[in-house]
Amino acid sequence: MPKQKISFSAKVRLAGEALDVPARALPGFCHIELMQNRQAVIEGVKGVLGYSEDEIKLNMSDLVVTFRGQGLTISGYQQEALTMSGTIFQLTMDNGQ
Amino acid sequence: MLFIKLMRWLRGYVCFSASDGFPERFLNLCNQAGIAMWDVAWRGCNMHGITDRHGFVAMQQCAPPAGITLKVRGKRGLPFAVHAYRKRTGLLAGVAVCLITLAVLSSMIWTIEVQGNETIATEEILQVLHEQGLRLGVRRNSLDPRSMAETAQQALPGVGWLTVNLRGSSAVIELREEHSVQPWLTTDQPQHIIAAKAGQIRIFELYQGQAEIMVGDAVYAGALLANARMQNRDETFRYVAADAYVVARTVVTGHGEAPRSRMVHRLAPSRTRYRLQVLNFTIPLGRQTQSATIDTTFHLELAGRIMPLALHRHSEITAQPQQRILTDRQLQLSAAAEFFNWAYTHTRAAQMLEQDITVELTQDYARVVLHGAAYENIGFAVAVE
Repeated sequence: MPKQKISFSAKVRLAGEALDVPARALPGFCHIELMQNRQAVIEGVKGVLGYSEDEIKLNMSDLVVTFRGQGLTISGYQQEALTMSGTIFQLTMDNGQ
Repeated sequence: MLFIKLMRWLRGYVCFSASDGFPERFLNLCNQAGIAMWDVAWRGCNMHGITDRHGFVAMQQCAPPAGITLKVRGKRGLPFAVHAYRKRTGLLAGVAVCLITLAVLSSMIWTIEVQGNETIATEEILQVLHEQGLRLGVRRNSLDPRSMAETAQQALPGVGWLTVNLRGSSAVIELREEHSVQPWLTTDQPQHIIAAKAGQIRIFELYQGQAEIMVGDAVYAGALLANARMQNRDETFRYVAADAYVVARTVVTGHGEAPRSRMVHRLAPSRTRYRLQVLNFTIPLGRQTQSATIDTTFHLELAGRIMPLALHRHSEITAQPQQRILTDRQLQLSAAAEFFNWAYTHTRAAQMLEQDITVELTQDYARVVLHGAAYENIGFAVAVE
């Protein structure tokens, strides 16, 4: 079985976790906060991969996070922080494995 | 959130719509360029959003690489509102003059209010404070409320406490009047208790002094009830402040009388004049008069605060003396009013036991007469001379 290749940021994160470094200080940190299913605050957004009224797909470094719902609105987008509102039905995370 | 909205309005913002191309790429490019966006939503085939004033300029550089067509839907906020009036210098000058006037007028006193006076006339208080410099239109910084209050308190007899509070453009004078204490003999001073009225003693409670009567005795007005002179065991005397509670059954008689013919002053139809007071200026509305008037002032009040805008009404007093003959009914009512006035003064502290009220009506007068009996406290203290 071929050995799985680990990215540099994943290595740094593993080392940081072993040394008890706060997660917020590590590269590739992402933070998702949900207020019921009406609003979500996402930190660590590297880019928007897809945006429609029913789906917002976000690039979060090692993860691709997909919000599905109805009437999804980007309430704010600045730096790496994105605030979205609407009715969220589904949250999917895909790390490419 | 309200503060954020206020800040955005102060800085100005642009509502835009983006169509065609790749909206995701456009969002990413804008984010990389540090452009703040909010309320981004799809409406039909177009993506609508809001950005700040500088963000929209930078956004126009991001649109072509993403194949986006940008359209401005609206420009809102203070900078755009000011921009629309940039050539109207007169308007700006007017705003500046208004602000300066407001700032200058705010530093002056425009309303003076007096609170807490019961017997002392408001005009008298205002006159004293006017002499201290408190008047309409005076600069607030030139006033020293503490020294004004002290001086006014000394100048106004009967004022126990007075303070001058400056609240914005209002001066509020709060005061408390001294309640006069009934002069009474101190217990240190020797005093007798005598009968204020003739009657038969029903209750006699002696607290101090030498008893001179007993329950059941009949006394005349001025009779000694409790003596201040007390005998010691060595047959010497000492004087004390005699004190006793003495209730006697007394005869109560009195009447109220009203004449049928009397001189009255009939008010003639009066003419009313008005004056408008704005700040420190008085504007006469119509021809003014110098004759005696009844003055009424109506202040404009907003949220319980007196504004420096008032309407003064002056009603002329023109009264003609006139001889008036009362009818029987009016005469009886007039006599009854006089009787009630007398009864309130003389019998309010008495417990009436029996009473006989008769009405005498003649061609010249009407009289309401009371004959009755009552229990009254007849003890009265007099100092020993």
